[in-house]
Amino acid sequence: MDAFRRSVSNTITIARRELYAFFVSPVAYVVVFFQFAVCGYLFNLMCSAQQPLEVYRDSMYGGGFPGVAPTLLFWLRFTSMIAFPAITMRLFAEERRSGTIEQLMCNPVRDIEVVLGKYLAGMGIFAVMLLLSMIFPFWIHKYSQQEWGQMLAGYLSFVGTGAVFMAVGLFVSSLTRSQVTAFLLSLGALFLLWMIGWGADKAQGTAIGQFLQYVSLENAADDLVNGILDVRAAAYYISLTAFFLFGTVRSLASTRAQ
Amino acid sequence: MIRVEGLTKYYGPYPAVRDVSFHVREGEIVAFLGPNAAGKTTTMRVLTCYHPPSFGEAFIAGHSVRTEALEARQQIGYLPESIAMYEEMSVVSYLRFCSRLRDVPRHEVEDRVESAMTRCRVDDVADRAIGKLSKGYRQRVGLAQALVHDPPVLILDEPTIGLDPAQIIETRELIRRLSGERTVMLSTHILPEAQALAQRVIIINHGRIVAEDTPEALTGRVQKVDTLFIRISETSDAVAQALRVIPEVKNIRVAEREKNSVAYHVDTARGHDIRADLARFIVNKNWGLLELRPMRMTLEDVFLSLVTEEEGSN
Repeated sequence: MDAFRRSVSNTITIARRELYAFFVSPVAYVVVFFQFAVCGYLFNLMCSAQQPLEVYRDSMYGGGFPGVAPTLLFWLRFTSMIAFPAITMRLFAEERRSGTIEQLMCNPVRDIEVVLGKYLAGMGIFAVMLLLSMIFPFWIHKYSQQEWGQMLAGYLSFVGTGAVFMAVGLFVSSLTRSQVTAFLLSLGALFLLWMIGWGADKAQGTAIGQFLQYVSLENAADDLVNGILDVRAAAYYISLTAFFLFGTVRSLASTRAQ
Repeated sequence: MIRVEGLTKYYGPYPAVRDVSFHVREGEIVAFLGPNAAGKTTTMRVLTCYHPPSFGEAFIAGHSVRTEALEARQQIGYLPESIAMYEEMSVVSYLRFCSRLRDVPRHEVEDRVESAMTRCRVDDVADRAIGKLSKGYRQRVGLAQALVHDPPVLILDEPTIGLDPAQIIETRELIRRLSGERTVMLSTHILPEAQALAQRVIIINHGRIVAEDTPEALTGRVQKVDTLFIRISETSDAVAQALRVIPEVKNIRVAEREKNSVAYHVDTARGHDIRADLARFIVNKNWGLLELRPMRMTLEDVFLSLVTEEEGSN
């Protein structure tokens, strides 16, 4: 029990320091601003869309067709593909470049506490993003009377995708000492993950198609967006996140063994 | 307190440390001495459980670095070589961060941080960002960080490297003051530093321990003769011949020839102090004795001779 208390305390201590580092550097602000500038612009476009996109505008003010929320959520997930690597790139790469990782890892802390601490800090920034983005569903609800339940289920797709993206980015950051490399590699990795869905569409009906369908990020998101709370989607996000976090722990262990 | 047994560490195919064994008793200050790339940092990184050993074992206060890394690390305050710290943090918040990770009870954190800052004299920069501090201050923050959880073992890797002479003296003074009851292991490639701080010196070269003893005993081991330095105003060559008459004089060499004086190194049998006899002899000859002093072999000479001995035997 005492060991568990210490683990939690160490993880929180590391997460707090990491959050502090986010707040004193401009990167996090710039990224959050950029994502909302883009999504806000697209949202505005949808609400005032002319032909042939007027279906969005009509759904916004007429109700019924749930056109705006799914598209907005798509763009939130899509822009995260660029925003998240910018947030995670620093987490390990900077420690390795500056050498602070030695001092950190010579503390009586477990590798997994370091990984979870940094992951939590990243998720803290993500929580800020989520909170800020809540302005969109409020707006949609106000004008289109769309149900909260469906919108929040759809939001879970953003949460799940974010959790996976954060873990992938953290893993990639632990592989290199350059933030730029970490950023580009994570961007590539996330894009690959995203593309799997396209492959699934192309190979529909075959066994490979089925497999790709199962591992596709966007497929898991679709059900949620349509208001279906599926255990499979949750299992998908959780197992993928756990997989990459475990990879990060292994990557740290191999740094030690070098 | 620190026990290392048959430690070998490979980086890829290269052994950085080969079959190293030693022992540091509680309360002892031991210097780890060797040229660059001798394996000092590697050994220390194994002790701090940063790198696991390839073969062999090490124990910190009885805790194995392989199987009880967390317990072993808890016993250690570690100052890595040219320590990297989070530049954006203030000194005091960095020390708080360190003490929390090392399980300092919550209500004691402030006191411990305060006392570490006072002892390492960084309390005047407590609220400054670490990235804005001078090298000397950083080193002291590094020491404060190593001390903040009051560990029984201090491991200091090149604690004075890159400091100016005044800072070096200050840091040494600090280490001596801080050591107190603690077991200290420090590495250095500067010999006078080992001599000044340590009760025992372990000399390491090419990943192997070459010698291990007190600074005095090491000197004795290599030094087969005592050497006296004399300077006399008589410049004739007959002097050297005449001095050989004294039975304890083994050898005599000209060290320096100047216009009005000549200096000699006189090797004498170990343990025979012939300074009084030599002085009387020279005065009786009326050669004009200007200077007479024993020459001590510095640890530098010892080191060089041990290292060359080792390379010769390979």
